[in-house]
Amino acid sequence: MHRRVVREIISSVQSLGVPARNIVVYDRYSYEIDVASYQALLPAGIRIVGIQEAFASGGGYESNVYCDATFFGEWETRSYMASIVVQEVNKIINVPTMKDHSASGVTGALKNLAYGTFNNVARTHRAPYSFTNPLIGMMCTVEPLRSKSVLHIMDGMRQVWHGGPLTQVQDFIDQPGILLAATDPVAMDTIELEAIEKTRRERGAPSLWQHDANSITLNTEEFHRDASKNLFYRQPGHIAAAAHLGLGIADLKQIDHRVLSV
Amino acid sequence: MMRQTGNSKAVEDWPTLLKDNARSGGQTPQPARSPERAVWQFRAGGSVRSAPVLKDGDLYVISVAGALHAIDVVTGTAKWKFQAGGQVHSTPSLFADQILFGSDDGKVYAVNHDGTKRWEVPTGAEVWASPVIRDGVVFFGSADTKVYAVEASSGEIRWAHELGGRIYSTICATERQLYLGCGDGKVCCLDSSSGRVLWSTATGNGIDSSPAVVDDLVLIGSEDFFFYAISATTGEVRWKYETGLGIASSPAIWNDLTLFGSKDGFLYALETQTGKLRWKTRVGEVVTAPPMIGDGVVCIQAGGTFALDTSNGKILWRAGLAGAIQSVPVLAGETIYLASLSGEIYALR
Repeated sequence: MHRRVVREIISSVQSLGVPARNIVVYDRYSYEIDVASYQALLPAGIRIVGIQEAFASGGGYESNVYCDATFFGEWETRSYMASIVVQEVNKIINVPTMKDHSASGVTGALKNLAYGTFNNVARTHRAPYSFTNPLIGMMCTVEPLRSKSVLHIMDGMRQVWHGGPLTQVQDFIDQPGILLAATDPVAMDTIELEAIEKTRRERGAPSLWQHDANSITLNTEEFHRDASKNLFYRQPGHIAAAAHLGLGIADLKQIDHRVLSV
Repeated sequence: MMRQTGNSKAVEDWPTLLKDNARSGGQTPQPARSPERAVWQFRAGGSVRSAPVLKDGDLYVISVAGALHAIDVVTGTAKWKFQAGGQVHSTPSLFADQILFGSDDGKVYAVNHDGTKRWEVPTGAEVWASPVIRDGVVFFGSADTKVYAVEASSGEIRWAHELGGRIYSTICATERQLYLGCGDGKVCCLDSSSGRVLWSTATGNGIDSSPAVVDDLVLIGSEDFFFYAISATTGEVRWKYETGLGIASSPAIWNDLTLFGSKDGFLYALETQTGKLRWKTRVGEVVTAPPMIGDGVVCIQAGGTFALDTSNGKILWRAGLAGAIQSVPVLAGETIYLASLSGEIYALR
């Protein structure tokens, strides 16, 4: 997410009387926080926490709070929840970005919350198959993550409509210049999904729902070059699955969605 | 020109970030060839973000977990280990017989060459910047927004001066001035004897790059995507150059060129006096580490280690080792020492 968005959120929280020492900015990987220079750019007194140092390293996870599931016969079938969520914070403001994801369809409020808080999650997708549906929604139901997540603010200043989550190909990144705010992560992701689908239609790219074997490639360079190619069969259905688990509303017609221009 | 070299008696010593207080980045004569083999490999037992330093045949490396290792460069074995009270992201500096570094527990530690603690000094938040020593005084910034001046011999605080944001930038110390970037986006010049701010110049976003000073120019990158050359005397912006993303990489200076990386993935070479682009070369997805300069060769860690021809930016060789965030290779004779994010330390020849 954009650091200025985070700074504004911190400023707003502080204006409500929350002292800096009680505010924690956390993300899954320390090195990603480091690369984004959050340490230098956030206000003094705010604690900045990377749950684990790097992809393969251990870190701050709770041994007694986990999701247990197997998808491809992996030897470690558990994903553990971050200790900072279990033990330290009492409210979470979730700040996802607006982007396509090659395995889950989109990365939004739900995936940001689930895959940013639990470890051992990459095991849910092994090309070309993805079990991000239903694991993303299942993880978001686990307490205390579910109860503590009270507000979701999506940074849609930029929208990655292909090549997510990591592409830097500027042709696949639009600048819609919007922010989404919701108390319902499912509703937020439903609107995000619709927005990215719309962009893909306008650019002539296939739907995120397309499951065509001809679109699958093992060549990551081709994936990053060609919006008709993908590494996995995407699973945008994880949003509706989360709705079935009681996490929110996935029916666009029932979502109270208001647009404010500033 | 305010260029200060390292210990002239031991040309292979590498006592601080980018070798010396001028951020020259080495500039020792090196062949432009790829290393052929690993002489040894050392496991630090956890990620390493900071850069190694070298003195009198000992390589000092600190893991993020806070363990300072003294490694014999001949054998690649540990002589001793010192455990700090918190995580460590700060590159150590060597002064006389001390190793100094900051820690996330808010302290700066001075450790003797036998691995025992000499002193520690507390601050109000983590210290990621590298301590800089000049005339027996240690200067460093802390995330508590203060710049500290501390007696190197005792750890006694001489002065502390508050700036407007978190400090992660390593100070460049000249004879009477200190230069650094600040999280509030300002480049600051302080009087080294009192901490008084002599001038400050605003950029468009926060700064965690560390400056170099050469020929009355303070050279530093900002998260506002620009690289700045600022008058060291007045704080006036002489020129600025826009890259594609924020700049956390600290510059290295070579002849008339200033080299630095950007988060847009490119390594840039600009003419120091004019800011004119000489060349730029893509070396990775993101570059946040500082470059290091040999004789006609610039090395940088960016998901691997790259060596480029300094004159034209052509990649001469690359090694799939030492993906780094901030670490910098150390050149000593024919050996290159690398620290990796995964915690492996390599001696390559």
